[in-house]
Amino acid sequence: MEKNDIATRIREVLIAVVGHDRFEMRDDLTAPDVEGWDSLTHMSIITGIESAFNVRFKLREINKLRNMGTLIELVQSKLSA
Amino acid sequence: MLFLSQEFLLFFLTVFVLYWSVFKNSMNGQDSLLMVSSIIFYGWTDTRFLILIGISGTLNYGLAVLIEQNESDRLRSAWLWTGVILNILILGYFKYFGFFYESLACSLEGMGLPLEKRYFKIALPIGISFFTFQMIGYLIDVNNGSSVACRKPIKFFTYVLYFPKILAGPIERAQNFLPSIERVRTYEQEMISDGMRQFLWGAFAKTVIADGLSPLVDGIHTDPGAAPASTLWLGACLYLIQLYADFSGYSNMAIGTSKMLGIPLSINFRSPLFALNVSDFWRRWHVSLTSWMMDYLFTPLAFMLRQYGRPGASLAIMVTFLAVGVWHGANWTFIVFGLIQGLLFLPLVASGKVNVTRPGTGLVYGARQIAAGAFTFILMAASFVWMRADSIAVGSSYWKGMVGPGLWTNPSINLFNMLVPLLFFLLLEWLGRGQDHMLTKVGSLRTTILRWSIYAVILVQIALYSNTQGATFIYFAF
Repeated sequence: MEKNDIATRIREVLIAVVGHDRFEMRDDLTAPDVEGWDSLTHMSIITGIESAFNVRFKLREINKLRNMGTLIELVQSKLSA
Repeated sequence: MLFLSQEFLLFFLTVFVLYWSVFKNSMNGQDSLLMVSSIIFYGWTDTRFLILIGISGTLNYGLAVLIEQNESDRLRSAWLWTGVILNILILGYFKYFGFFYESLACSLEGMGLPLEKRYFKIALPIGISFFTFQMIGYLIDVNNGSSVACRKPIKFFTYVLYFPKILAGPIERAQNFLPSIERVRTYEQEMISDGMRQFLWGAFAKTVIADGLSPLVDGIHTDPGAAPASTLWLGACLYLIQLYADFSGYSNMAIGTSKMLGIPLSINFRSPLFALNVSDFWRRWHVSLTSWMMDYLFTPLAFMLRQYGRPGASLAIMVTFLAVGVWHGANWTFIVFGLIQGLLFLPLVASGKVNVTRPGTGLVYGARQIAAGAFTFILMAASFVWMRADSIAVGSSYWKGMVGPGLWTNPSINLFNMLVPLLFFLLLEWLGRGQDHMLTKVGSLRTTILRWSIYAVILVQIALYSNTQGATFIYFAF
């Protein structure tokens, strides 16, 4: 799957969880940049992404995420595995 | 050494002058001064505890290096768990051992198996919960790669012991704190002035509001069974304000002191009195602890339980808030407090509405926000009764009284003397919400006379109302 398609689907998950679209998808986007993306909603976002792409993450992989770019790369690597 | 004492004033003045004169161009000099002054500051309370922090700090310093230099995930995990368990054992011994022994003795006695009753009086090192959690978080961050292991002992021990935060936080993350001492701090007048403003607001909250409300609240909690419901409800609301003023006052003084040394610390409160629901409250209250609990306990738990959907998330929330309760102290009342907070969260988790940042406009929306804010405040005030109650019996009696007779009678609390400062405090809290601290906006006022008039009003109130100088901070007991 193309990087842009992954980003679009992740964006949809994010909007569904945080309840707004007031953020711009870019590689250096981090949780504090998105209003409502905090520790409590983080897990809903992760499970939402897992369902959207039908993949399973490991906790270590989640802990190593630094920004949207690394999240998209992780999904891409899971899909091509 | 309390922030509002003559010793601290002298101590800080000395550090401040040396820091910005003799050592102003030397990072090593600034670091060494901070470490030595932090040792003096903590040792002032009890020199024995310095040895404990020294041992704990050395252990964590070494473990972080071991975690970082090992390539094998299994070995890294082994060192991480060794560190986590050792830190918990140290905390457990000093904070919870006596409580567990007494609880066990009582349970066995109930089963006809008397255990020799000994009452352990283990001195509680001030700040132990704060620095232990800081160390555990540091080891986890090094293991995850979100922080590097600090290999410079002076910098590391400055991070552990740094005097503005050692007694009651904020619980600092290494990746936030260490970069700010990886450079020479330069004298920036704006940051120092802002630190002074933040300290002033903290001093006002502590001496005028928290210490002013303390006798009123203490009076009700001594014998809650004798008070009508109206008094108990008002008392509960006042206690929440008192606790907030006390701890946010401490935090503002700590952060303000640190700013005067050119080192920013994490925010600890985001106007929690104006929260719109329970989850919003915990996003704003004692942020450095709740974010710690969320990142290092809730997230791994919720991740493990994610296949169970909302029931799994609910269980993770319950365990997390139980831990928040127990973190506060070794007493059944804190366990009840944690359970109540967890239970208050469950409807939000079940409905999927933990996020409250839904924007809106108009009168109806505004009225709903006010109603939600008032309801949340009253709900949290009622639940925080358990934070203040000395025992289960007192807490139960308090809650029974709240639903008992006398709800519409005149509360037997004389608030007259506190009315003006309380309204002033709440007004500035409201105007300053969403800011770094409540006097941020005041500092940016262009009219000098207006700015200084506000400072003068605060100073006059401190002079007029603070009559319990030397009162300790509630959170030092945690």
